[in-house]
Amino acid sequence: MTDAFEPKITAFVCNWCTYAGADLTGTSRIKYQSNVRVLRLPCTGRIDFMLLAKAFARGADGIIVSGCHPNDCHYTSGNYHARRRWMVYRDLMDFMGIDTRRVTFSWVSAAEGARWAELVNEVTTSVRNLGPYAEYKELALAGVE
Amino acid sequence: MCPTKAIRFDQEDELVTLDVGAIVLSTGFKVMRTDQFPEYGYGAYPDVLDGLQFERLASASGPTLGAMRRPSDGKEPETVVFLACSGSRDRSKGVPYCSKICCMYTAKHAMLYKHKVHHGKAYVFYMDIRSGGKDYDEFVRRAIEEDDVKYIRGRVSRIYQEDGKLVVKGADTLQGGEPVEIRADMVVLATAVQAQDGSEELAQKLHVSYDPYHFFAESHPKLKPVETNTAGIFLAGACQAPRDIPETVAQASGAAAKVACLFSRDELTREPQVAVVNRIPGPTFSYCVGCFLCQSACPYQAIEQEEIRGRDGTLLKTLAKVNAGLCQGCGTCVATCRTKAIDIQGFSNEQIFAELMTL
Ligand SMILES: Cc1cc2nc3c(=O)[nH]c(=O)nc-3n(C[C@H](O)[C@H](O)[C@H](O)COP(=O)(O)OP(=O)(O)OC[C@H]3O[C@@H](n4cnc5c(N)ncnc54)[C@H](O)[C@@H]3O)c2cc1C
Repeated sequence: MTDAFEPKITAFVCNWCTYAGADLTGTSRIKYQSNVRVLRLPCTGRIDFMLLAKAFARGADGIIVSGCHPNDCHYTSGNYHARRRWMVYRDLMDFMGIDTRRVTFSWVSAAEGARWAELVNEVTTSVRNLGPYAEYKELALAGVE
Repeated sequence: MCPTKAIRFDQEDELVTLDVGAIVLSTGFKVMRTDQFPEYGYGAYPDVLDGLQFERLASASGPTLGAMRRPSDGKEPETVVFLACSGSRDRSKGVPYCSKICCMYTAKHAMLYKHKVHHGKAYVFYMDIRSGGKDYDEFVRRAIEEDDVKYIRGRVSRIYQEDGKLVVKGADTLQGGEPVEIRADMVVLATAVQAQDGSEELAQKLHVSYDPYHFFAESHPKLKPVETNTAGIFLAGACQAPRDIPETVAQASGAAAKVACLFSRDELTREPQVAVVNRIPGPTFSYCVGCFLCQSACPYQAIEQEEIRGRDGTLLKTLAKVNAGLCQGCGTCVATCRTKAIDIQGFSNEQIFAELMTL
């Protein structure tokens, strides 16, 4: 048995576009990497920084944040809030020493089942190449124990 | 003018402000103009019309009282060419979607023309005939079989003027792409249906979503076709997508029924997934510090200011308060709140962190 590294990817997706899109991937019988764990939220606008930090602390090697395309937000503008926040989070994470290459911000609509598979495959491959993300987890746990 | 003085000519526009419980958006559509087609003369030829102009020409209350007279010289056109899909289903120069109504009204136009000019010739260039609907295909067959309208499957590459005629150059793709040239007296372009001017601004004003072409978006394509994502705002007609009159009337009836349902109840029902601002006993009353960042983030104006007053009426604190009737539960306020005073039922921090802990 080989100990090939299988990255853990946490995906924060919105209920209306990406979650529905990922559902379509399944009903379309499209295969994709099984490394992703999907967390459904009403909207990407619901995502705050603590969720991303916690995911890394709990052992995620990579994160996907995906919602509706611009103009398509079920809630009119949540995806714009998410995009603006992501600009700030990225700098903040970078400042804190988090590897921002491990976070992918994307848009997948409810009609883009194939795009979801592509996205997960891309991210899984790139995170696999980056290797396991132990540093942050160790740091986060060091404070607790 | 009017012998019974039924029209008041001194009436002026006025702005009326109303408080309403529901809004039905039914602002309709527009069509692409002929001047948007360089290959068809950029709107320079007066006898190249769009569908709406032909509609006026054929109308008994139109400028010619319904007589078929072409605009340039008022002569009766002997040969008329109709071009379906002018700008529709054209990713490169027009819109990618099907405008849906043109196949049917083009058949109607060709028939109207033939009924008025019996010896005239009518040609229709088309990509596909999309005549789905009750008795719709029969209608098109009637145009072809009874009224002798010539349907040619193929596109028209160019129209130009020569010796007082409009030369229409196209191809017949059912004859192996053989070039076709028709010397016409009048051409009618069934131009693409587009969202009404100002739709985007209107949608933003009302917080209604819209698609990339600025048609208003329904709440759910199958299950909520007349609702928008904003409670109390409904859709009817071509402002949502290209559609004909029967569909518009059906949808408008649906919207009207939804409004009647809304108004017939004494209390509003809502999804339980709404935001709440926490409340704790005084003197703090809530973690909310009254910064109201949530208020500016809320797309639905669902966050109000609530004043907490002491027994003597002095103002102790101003807190955010969610109007649960307006809140749609997106949670954008939750991510915005600095003090974590606001949370969303069903997707609370506690619940989401619990999910994260199992990763
Ligand atoms: C050439 C042609 C021929 C057609 N023939 C047929 C046919 O034979 N049979 C058929 O079933 N369908 C036909 N149709 C389709 C038909 O026109 C549409 O289905 C129908 O008009 C849609 O109705 P509506 O009320 O949604 O929009 P519209 O008819 O466009 O009405 C919208 C109204 O809202 C007003 N408005 C817009 N913005 C505002 C605002 N901000 N404030 C206040 N008012 C506003 C507009 O002035 C307009 O009066 C044809 C269409 C064309 C282009």
